[in-house]
Amino acid sequence: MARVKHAKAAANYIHHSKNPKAQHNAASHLRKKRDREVINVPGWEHLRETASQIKMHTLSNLDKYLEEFERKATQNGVKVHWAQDGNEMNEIVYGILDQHQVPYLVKSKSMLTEECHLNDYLEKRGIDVFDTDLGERIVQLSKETPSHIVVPAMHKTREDISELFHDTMKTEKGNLDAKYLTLAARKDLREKFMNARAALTGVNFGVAETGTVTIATNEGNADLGVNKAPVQIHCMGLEKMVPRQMDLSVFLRLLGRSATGQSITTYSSHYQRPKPGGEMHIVLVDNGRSKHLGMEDFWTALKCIRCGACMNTCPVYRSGGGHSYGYTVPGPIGSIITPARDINQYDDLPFASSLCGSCSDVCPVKIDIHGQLLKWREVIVDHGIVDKSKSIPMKMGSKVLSKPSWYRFAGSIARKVMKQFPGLVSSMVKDWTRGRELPEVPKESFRSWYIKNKKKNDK
Amino acid sequence: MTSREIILGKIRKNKPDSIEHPGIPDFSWPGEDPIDRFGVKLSQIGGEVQLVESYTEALQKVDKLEGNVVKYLVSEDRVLNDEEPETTVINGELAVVENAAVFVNVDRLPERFVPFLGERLIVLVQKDKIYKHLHEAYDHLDLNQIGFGIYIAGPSATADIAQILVRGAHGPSKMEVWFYNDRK
Repeated sequence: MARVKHAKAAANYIHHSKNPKAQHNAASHLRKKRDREVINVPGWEHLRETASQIKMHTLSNLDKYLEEFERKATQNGVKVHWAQDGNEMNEIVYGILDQHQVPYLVKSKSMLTEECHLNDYLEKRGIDVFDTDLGERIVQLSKETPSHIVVPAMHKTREDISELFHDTMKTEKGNLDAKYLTLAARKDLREKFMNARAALTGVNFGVAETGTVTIATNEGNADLGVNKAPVQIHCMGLEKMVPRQMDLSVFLRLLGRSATGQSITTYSSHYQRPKPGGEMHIVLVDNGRSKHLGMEDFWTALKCIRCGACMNTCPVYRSGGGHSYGYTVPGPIGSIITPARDINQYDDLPFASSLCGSCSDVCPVKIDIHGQLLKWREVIVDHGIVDKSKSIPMKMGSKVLSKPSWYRFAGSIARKVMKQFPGLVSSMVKDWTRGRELPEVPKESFRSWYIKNKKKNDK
Repeated sequence: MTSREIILGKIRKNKPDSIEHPGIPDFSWPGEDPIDRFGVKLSQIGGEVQLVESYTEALQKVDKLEGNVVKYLVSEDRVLNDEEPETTVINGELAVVENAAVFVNVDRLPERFVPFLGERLIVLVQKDKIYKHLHEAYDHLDLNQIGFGIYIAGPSATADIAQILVRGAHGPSKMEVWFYNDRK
């Protein structure tokens, strides 16, 4: 299915969706919670800077740390797998489940498996997948994709969810009580948890020194799943690595605060070894990350710890919604990751920004997000894959602006035309004038005004 | 070539020049009453602190708890039934003031799922095993010696439905930390 470009999808969300404000309100709420929490942390900026440097150190030695991680985990009795792309990851996971003849899988939130479409892959092969994070469960039941990486059902209202649960879990019609609905979902999944024979999670951090897989959640769904089922699988993007256990202290202080304004998530688990009599697998997934690492201007985007703070603060994300990006990771960070994966498919996303820079200000690992957005625009223009409605006026503009006499001539014409035929001008730039007024036309150019006044003053 | 070799090869070819690890700076801040501060923090996230004199007193208090209580405190506590308990009581290794988290070495429990079942979780922590922030806490942990360890801060929670906080998403809806003065 062809991807709808961001501008069109966002316009559609704003003008035709039922609750275009739902996402805006939720994201603003999280941004405010973050600010209230962060202001009380002494040395917050120093902490961000430290995190940024640790990530850059790790990424610039990534081969070494991945090997150390693999060695340590293997010593601990964990089976480590390597997947070059999403398809290979899916094959590996299916292989493990098939070998154990597992009828279904309980899965906690993992944007990596969303990125690789694991659910589809398994379901086509007869293995049911139960997403256990409440937000992911909601989007799974409504056959949608997450609109936010931390709060997957951010775009949905209580009314939507009440209706969905009534249809799928036979909850009381019209009951909007969040507690009632949450506990209904808990009850619905309980039996799946208790009898699961395999559980899968994403990974927040992998520690090379100890072979640790760290997972941060609030619901306890990841840990309940993993610890009830004999087989546990953790899918992890290559960039999730940190060198030592002490480095976790930096990142766990940043993650919850940046994401939801929590000092730490309710659960931060550290898995080193399989449970007695159980099996533990880690799948290390590349899927474009090693290529991204080689991009001089863009590799630091791999520092991202997926907190979602850049989305919560972004005016474009908040207005246009998460789905309009057409990728698992939306918002500012998604807009600099996607062109690194496939520049032709996602050439519109670096333009889905006002370049206000708020994303870079809140990023806990100090990724220069708005700087990279601008750089991607340059790359896209150099590639010549910019829409003609943008590139032709730009070319004309650059010609005119490079020659003073042309510029002066164009200015005088524009002043006349705007005065005589304002309706015509307005319709020529109708995308711009939707919601804006054209400025009042000045009588003369600044240049002629200046020359006149300078003469007056010189006298 | 295996996928492993291909991936590592690509990384070696593409990785930027090595950048130094910054080390972990001293993030300390001036003193505060740690137990008091921890209590405030925990209450903000829906938990509760209790102070008891000694470990023995804590055990006596546990024995007086009503309802279906399951405790995993000493190695003899190995009983597991199918029914979900109302209250689960376990030991914690240490507590962290800045975020009201306690670290639990789950290897000490008969089954790994124990902390995630039941309605109410009580974690017993020795009073002098409380640390200001996560840097200090990790300094007192050795993950190499632990199969599965976890920080728990407050009850299980979700706000996935319209940002409304609900406790007891999948795990316990109540969480208490009991600090005791000494091991006796």
